[in-house]
Amino acid sequence: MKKLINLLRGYVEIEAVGAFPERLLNLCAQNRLQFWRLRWIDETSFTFRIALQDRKRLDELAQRAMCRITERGRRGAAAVAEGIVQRRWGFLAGLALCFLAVSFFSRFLLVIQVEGNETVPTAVILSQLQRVGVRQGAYGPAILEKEAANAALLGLPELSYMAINIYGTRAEVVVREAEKKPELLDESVPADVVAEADGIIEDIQTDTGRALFQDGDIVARGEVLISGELELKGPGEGAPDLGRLVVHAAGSVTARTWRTLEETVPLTALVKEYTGEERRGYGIKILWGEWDFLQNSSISDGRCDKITETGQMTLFDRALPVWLTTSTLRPYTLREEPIDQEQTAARLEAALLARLEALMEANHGEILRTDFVLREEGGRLTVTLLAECREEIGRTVKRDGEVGRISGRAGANESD
Amino acid sequence: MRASRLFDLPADAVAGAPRVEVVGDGELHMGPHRGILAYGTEEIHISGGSLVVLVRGSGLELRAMTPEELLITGTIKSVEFVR
Repeated sequence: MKKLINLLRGYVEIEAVGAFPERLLNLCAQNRLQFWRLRWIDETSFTFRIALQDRKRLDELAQRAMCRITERGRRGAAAVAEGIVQRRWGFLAGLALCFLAVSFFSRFLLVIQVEGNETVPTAVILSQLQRVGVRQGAYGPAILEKEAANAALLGLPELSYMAINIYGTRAEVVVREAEKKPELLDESVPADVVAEADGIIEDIQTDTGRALFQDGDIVARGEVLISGELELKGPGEGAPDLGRLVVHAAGSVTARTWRTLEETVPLTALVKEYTGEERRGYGIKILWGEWDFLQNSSISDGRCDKITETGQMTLFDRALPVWLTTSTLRPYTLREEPIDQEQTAARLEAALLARLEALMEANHGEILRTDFVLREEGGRLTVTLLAECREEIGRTVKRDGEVGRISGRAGANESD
Repeated sequence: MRASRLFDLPADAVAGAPRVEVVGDGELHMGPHRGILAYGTEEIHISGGSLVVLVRGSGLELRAMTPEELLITGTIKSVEFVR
């Protein structure tokens, strides 16, 4: 055990030579310098071992004992460490750098993981987090997790909850999406139901208010279909008017409508003609630093396509904060060419149909019949979609007055 | 020494006389001491103040030494006190 401790502490083997070398031993004992493995060589010299830490004090004692001492060697863990410190500074510098990397760089965020989102894209959440300082390369201990989560939530109304947990270089962002609030009917606002489009009413249902049209009536866009003003009459026939009550009109009006949508494009188009020249540039982004190299600046003309491909490096399926970017510059000139009319018309028809379908989806309607008309006029190709539809045309529009208030009698107003 | 005899006290406690303890023939403890006067594998001279302790034997080795006491190992053949 003692040997093991001596090995760990490190020791020096000393040879002492002097007229009275035993004096050195006495001085060592008096000064509590522990020594061992004493070997007498002759009457004037001997060897012994002392702990590495006592080596400096031994010089002074040897001087006092008038002995000359020489080191025969150093052994043990501490001696090896001392040798490394003195001779292998490169190794030590590397070791220090590793320690620095582990203790300091491990505090920077390298990975941000977002969990719990279904409809809100991760990129949107990451973008908002970046605005509040939670980004790759950010110093982790400087981020106040709760405050950052609250600040990020303010910019993301689609989320109801966010928690940021930082584990070393990884930030875990747990989110909960907010449930979509149902559209509330604000009955405190006086309103009429107005026709959004021309059409023939097929069904009119009044919840609140007074219907001004019947099934089969033709209505024009902007006409009031359900009035938010109710005439109050007394009981019995021939009773006098009691006034007009203002309400928030509500109801549904289904009508047959005829929609006309139009798209137009020029008959000629500018086409890119690549010169065949191609230049590539490369870049690397590490944490917050970005470097571009081998960028070719010979293409000074602005007319060129720049295709940038960015790939994030991974290690064992874990994303690293290193991105490699390849940029390709392809210069081109513009040339005017006539368009393929059939192809363009088909494309426009598809676009118009998509627009109509989106409109019907918003109005809870259906398309009954469609017809396309093509015409060339003034160097442009115009495609018109004529469609017969069945849809909800009633739209709530605010009106003057105050809900629940009864204005003067109808008869009295007339007399005024 | 006289005082210790007069008061029936241990001599080492009163006069600071060395106390020598031999364990078998392989170990010798001594304390207090005044240092080593001569050293060898067959003979070690230790100053005990008013007397010198001569340890003779073979393979003698000073295993431990502090200002107060020391330990010698080896094969001890004799211990002699010289005034």
